[in-house]
Amino acid sequence: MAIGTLRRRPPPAATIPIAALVLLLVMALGVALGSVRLGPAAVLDGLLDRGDPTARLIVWQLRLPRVLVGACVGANLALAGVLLQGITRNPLADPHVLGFSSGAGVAAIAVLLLAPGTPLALIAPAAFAGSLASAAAVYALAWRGGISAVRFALAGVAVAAFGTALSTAVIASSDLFTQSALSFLAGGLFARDWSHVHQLWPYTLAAGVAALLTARWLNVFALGDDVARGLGVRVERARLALVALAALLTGSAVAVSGLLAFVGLVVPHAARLLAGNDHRTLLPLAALLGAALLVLADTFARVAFAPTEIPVGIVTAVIGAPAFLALLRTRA
Amino acid sequence: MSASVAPPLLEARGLHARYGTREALIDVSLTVTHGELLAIIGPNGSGKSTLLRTLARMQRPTAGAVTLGGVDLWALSPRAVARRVAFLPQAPEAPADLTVEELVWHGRYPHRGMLAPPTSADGAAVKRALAWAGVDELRARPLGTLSGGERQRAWVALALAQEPELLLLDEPTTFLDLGHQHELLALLRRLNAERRLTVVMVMHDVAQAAQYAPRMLALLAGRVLLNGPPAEVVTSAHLATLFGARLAVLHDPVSGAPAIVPAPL
Amino acid sequence: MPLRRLLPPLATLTIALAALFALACGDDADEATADAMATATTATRTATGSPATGAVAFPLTVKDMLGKDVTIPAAPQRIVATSPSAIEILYAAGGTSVARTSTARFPAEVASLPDIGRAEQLAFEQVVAQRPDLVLADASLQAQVATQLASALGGVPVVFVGATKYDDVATALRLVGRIVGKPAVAEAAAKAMDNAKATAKAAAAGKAAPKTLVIIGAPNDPYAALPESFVGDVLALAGGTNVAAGLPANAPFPGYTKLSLERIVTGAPDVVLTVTVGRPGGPSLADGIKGDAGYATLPAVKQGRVHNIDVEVFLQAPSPRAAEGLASLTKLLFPQ
Repeated sequence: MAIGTLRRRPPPAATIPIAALVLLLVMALGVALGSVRLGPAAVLDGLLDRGDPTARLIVWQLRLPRVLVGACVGANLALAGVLLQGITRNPLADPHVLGFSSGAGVAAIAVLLLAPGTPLALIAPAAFAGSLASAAAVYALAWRGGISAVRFALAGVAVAAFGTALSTAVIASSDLFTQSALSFLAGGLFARDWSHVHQLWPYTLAAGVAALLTARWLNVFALGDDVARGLGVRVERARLALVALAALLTGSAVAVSGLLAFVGLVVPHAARLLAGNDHRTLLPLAALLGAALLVLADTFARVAFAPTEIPVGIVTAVIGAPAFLALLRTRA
Repeated sequence: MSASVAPPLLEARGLHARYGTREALIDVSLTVTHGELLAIIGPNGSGKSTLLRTLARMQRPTAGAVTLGGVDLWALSPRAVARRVAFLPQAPEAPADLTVEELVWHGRYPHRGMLAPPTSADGAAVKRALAWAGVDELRARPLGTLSGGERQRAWVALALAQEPELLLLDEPTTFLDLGHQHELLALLRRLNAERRLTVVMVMHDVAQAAQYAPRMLALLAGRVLLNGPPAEVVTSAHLATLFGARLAVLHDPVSGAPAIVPAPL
Repeated sequence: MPLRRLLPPLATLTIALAALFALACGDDADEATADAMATATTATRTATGSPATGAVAFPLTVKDMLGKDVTIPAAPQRIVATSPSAIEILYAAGGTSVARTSTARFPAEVASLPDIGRAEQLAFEQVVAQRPDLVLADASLQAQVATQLASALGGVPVVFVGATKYDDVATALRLVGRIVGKPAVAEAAAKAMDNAKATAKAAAAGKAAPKTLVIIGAPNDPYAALPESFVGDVLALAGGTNVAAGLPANAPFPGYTKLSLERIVTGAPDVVLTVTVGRPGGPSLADGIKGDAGYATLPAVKQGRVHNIDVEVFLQAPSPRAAEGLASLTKLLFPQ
């Protein structure tokens, strides 16, 4: 490090290509590994959609879409986490804590309450709507001639608690078969295929690009509402746009993967420890790291005790928590 | 008063505004001309901060209007205002690991497009702001490592990077020790004198305000009580009305600066 | 783009909600399932004409137990059955599987087959890797992932079988018998199930039906089987009166009700049957109940009529073994 500066970080811009490389490697790993052992040649053939039909099916129909869904979900949740932490200036904010995803759980259960036996494919759009609705509820509850960051966070926590309580109450007392709702609440990437990829990637791309464009807003938000306003930001309008964006990212991810905590909370901090507070670097870095973490965790979940799978939510915590603590000790 | 005379830089007429549900400003009018240095004083709750926020387009008046160069403040976009007026709130906060230079770059926000890369003019403005505020030596330092005075100068540099005509500050010396208080006020007076920067600041310390500001505006219960040079405003009688306390005004025999002490019984 | 992607599922959701609402108003969900299964049986019969004897011609189109038409191009050589229940039905109908699920233990010969994961969360790629030409999937456990399973298998026919009632097993046997080309074997197995029913009915005839409660869970967190559950159905066939009949199905799995100890005491069952979930070889729920003071006043406990029954046969893997299960219930309900 140069003398005369107190900065201990590598140049922030360098972290992005490195993270992109890591993501590519992790995705390659996710495609190469599974409960069935395939040679590198078979995997490559599968990716090129040629050769042995069995390997082709395993690689092209099972592993690749699941890796892609994992990457999109991880990126969405991490981006939503960065946005929400930026809006609330609260390091503990994330889509889960602020109730953006608990609405999805309530909606999923409500659908099963009204229509027992509804397949998972139809629960997803309901979960998406539920997630948007709970985000809107948080925003509306926090509104009092304007939104203060603290009130927004508190309203979020309240909505999250309410949603969770509602889900638990319904599950505990309802006279309907809630197994699919339970598995939805637990979250995971089991049996996710191309239809889920198609359902999710437009959101990841569109909302992701939009999120990257909001980097300068978020940077100014970090200086407080008054300074942001003084610099010419229409604070309320910007905050509404950012909340809507976070809701889209969360809702689309939750609709596909169910509720997965941890990624949205911890990945933004990991990215911050690596590259600092500038959202122009932070947002893309968090997206890449979130994608990489979830793909890695899901690969582990599929392979570790094959052919039995373990829930990916457990794995993200088991891999992510020590990695994050190590970062915290060495960097902060 | 001929029509060819340029409108004042900032003018408030018949301003009413609320703080929460309370009527915080009642029929306040004032004019700030180009190159002035004005201090707003008054007891706690007199409406000083609300007045400054209304002048800064932070808060919409319930009645009356503020004009900037003759144009209604609310007819201008926030960015257009931000290119001409910089506002520094009381005790602003920023991430501790943000460097001084990164902070000051934010001052270019109103001058840049959403996606436009920084221009050489932006870079030059940041450099100037760092130099004028006396923080160019500190540019690479994270804010968390600075003293209170250094940090406040960094915030002034952010405001200067906006290249404003008018700088509005809300109690800029709060939380600074005495040495840093005078250092900051001297900086503001220098910027006012040498760079023709118009400054309006809310001040807590009446004696300090009198020492640095050629003109003072005193608010009491949301109304303008006094508006004039320190010698007229800072008198024992006025202080009794403003603060409800028996105070005496002494003058430093060398500089003539006023000092306020409890009046002998 | 996102909107257009979302519209079809949203439209489907609306229609499905409306349809299910209409259904719920007129009919009971269970009756609807029964109807579907009845249709399945009829369709099977009409397709072949003489199910018991005739050779099966391929390509063969069957209606599976999710009510879907499946065409099987040629006599299957490599079948993968994806749940303990499906495996037992397949073997009883004269077929064999080339893989097994993690917990499948019956028939014993499947132990040596490759493991494809738990039935609730199949390792799809293991299924694919077996290069099956037919997959026999579980209608109760795997209906949720039917589309994913189909796309993973790339055109290999998937037939869903399962049993939520005793008679469903015979239906499944006859369906699978035709697929594996052994309708006679399957018919014999199905007949055996029907015979077991008749035997049980005869044994119970003229005797007072004992008040019975079937419990799973733990002594302090008991769930009782309703008549709609598989074990509840077998209990009714055995001639027991289900004390839990009429209670709401409010357990987190279908066909069961959450019980309070008070309800159990007021129900005063003559017989308590327990299904122990958990590690095989562990303590049985029956022992737990016998040793629990809260249950001490029950007639069943006082008379030593608390019995543990097989968790696979009655809960985890509804199968042709239910015929023996039925006979064992007869013995417990009407001891000599």
